Amino acid sequence: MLERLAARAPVPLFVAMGRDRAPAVERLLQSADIDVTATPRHASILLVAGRVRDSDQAYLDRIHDQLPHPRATFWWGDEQGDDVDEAQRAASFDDPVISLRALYRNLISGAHASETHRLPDEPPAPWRGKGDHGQGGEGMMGGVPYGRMMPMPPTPDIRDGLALDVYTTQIGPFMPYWPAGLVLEVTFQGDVIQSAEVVQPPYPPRDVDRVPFDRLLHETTALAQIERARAAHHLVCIARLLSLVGLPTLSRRAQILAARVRANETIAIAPLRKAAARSGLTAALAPGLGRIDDRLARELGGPAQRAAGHAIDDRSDNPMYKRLDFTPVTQTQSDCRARLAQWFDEAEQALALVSAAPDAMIGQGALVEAPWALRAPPVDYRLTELLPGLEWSEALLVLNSFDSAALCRMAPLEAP
Amino acid sequence: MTPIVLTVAWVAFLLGMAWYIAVLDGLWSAAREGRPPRAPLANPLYRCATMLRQQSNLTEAPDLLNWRLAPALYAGLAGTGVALVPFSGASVLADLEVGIVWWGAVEALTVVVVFLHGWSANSQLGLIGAYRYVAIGLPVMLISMFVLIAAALPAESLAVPKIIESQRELWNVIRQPLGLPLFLLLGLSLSFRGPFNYADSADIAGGTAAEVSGAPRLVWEFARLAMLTAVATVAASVFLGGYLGPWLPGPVWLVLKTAAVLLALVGLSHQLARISPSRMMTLIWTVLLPLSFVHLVWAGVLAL
Repeated sequence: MLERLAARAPVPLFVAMGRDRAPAVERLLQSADIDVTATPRHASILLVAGRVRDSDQAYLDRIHDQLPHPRATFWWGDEQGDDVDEAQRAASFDDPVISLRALYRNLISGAHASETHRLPDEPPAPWRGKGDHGQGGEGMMGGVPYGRMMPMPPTPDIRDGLALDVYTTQIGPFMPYWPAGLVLEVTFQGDVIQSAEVVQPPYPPRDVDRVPFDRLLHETTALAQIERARAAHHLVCIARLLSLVGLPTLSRRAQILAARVRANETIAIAPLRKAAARSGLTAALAPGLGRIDDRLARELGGPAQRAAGHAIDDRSDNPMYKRLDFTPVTQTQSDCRARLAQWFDEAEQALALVSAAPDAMIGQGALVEAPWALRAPPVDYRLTELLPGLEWSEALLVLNSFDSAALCRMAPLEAP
Repeated sequence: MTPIVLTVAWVAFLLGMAWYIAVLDGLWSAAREGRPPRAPLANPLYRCATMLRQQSNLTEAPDLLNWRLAPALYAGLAGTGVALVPFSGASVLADLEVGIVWWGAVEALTVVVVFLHGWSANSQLGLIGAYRYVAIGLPVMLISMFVLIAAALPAESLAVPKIIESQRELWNVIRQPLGLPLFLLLGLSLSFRGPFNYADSADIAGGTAAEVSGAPRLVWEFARLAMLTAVATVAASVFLGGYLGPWLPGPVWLVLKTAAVLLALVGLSHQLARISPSRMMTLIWTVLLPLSFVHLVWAGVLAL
């Protein structure tokens, strides 16, 4: 009975986002048959979407071992999974919902055996707690256990000067609402970040977003395709921020819109924007949060630069865009609010361009602004300088107010 | 009603309302996303079965006793909250002269239990959720106390049945218009939903529930729904006249009013964005708390 009921539930899935699979995963998440969990502890299936770096493998194993039994891994479009069971992988172009449901049903009924631990299930060092419930003991202060970095003595909090223990932990690369691939070593005091260091950089912009821009290098490309790619990219960025301020349903709506834009459907962004505004999206982003200085904005280029008030956009010089009276939209404040407004404005403008010139073509090799920050050398300003002093929830908003290209440039550690 | 019938009604009410909230959540999300709902009536049961089928995991050196106790205590607190409320003039499970004080204790102990849940898993994200909950939960509790004392003034009693009887002429929601909206905020905070979900939000991977799976997680999630039910039941009684109403029997009125309050709570939790914990604290201490004090003074002047 229990098994039969459980088998009908949406598949509880934790997504480890690899490279290049993000848009496909976004489509997958729109299925009501899938329940994406915020933590591996709530999931039954670990979905590895796309390629992961060799250096991410240890993190992936640790995530895997946190899934409660019965559990299974599903590889989607990742060559690493080639040696596993047919039931546990799908090619990158397949729609895996049916396979995932079948795998989940078999897992629940016991027909598919639960996976064992990948790492040894033993503590890295003996627990030295002395109390009745394992508490106390030498080197146990602040709740940081053995075998890890000892907490530093209580230091004044950078917010209010109150002396608190600090603790250091690594975050990423598969944390939800976290730039895919990024690993930071963060030192906390309460929920305020004291310092952060980049351990691994985020993945670069996704291939699917780049397709029309890369194609333009070799052949004449439709303006509609380019602008649709821009609108979809921005909608996905907006969706992440919507999730973070506790509006998951609007976030899904934004993702559905992004998928429909990619599928060449005609959509309107204004209703989403209005619903988000009515829900207090702007109020949820404190004014001034994540403000960057003018120099950094200029070095980053792209939407971040225009959100700082600089009307610099390669499309301004393109004859086709000139014919359409294109002028770049800008904001003034250069903070999270401004970057969000910039994404909304640019996405709406992109769709307006599509409807104004549905058949326009852009000549091969023409310079057209990409939806993200410039792909230029790293800036000499670090992501890690933006985070100290922020609460965890604010830090996530700041991180997600940049596109992945901007994050790559601010967290420039070469992938091994 | 005999104590046995009352106890059965109490359990059925808690379970039924928890299911009702879960169904409402599914319908509201689907409507907002613009897609058809997925098996709206049965989906909550399927999810329960999934959690029961999962292993109850362990973390590295948790405080196991407190970790396992916290969900049960939380559900128990919600249960005692509902027990304070009479289903009709003669049927109340816990007829306390100091019902409002008891409810205050429920609120205070909820802060302790939620902190315990986040802390005892021995994990960072759970601990962040716990810290945040205490920071927000404490001031919200003060607001609720002012609001409830205001509601007790016209009744000249701290007993919930007497507060209901004092509303035969005029419901408190009209007499004291700020009371219900402020009390609804408490509901969102006590069960950490929507704009008040600082304990278990997705940005900290589920917060205090980030490490829990299987049956303990089911108890925890049920307890959140039961606590929301308790808040709605108390709100329906203290501000909307509880079982009072024409034509229908008292218990039916209570169920209808509770269901309506729950609809408002679910709507609020889906419609409002969450601001950062520190800004919420500023909002509570500088705007909402003074507002609740003004509300108390207003109610006091009216009662004179």
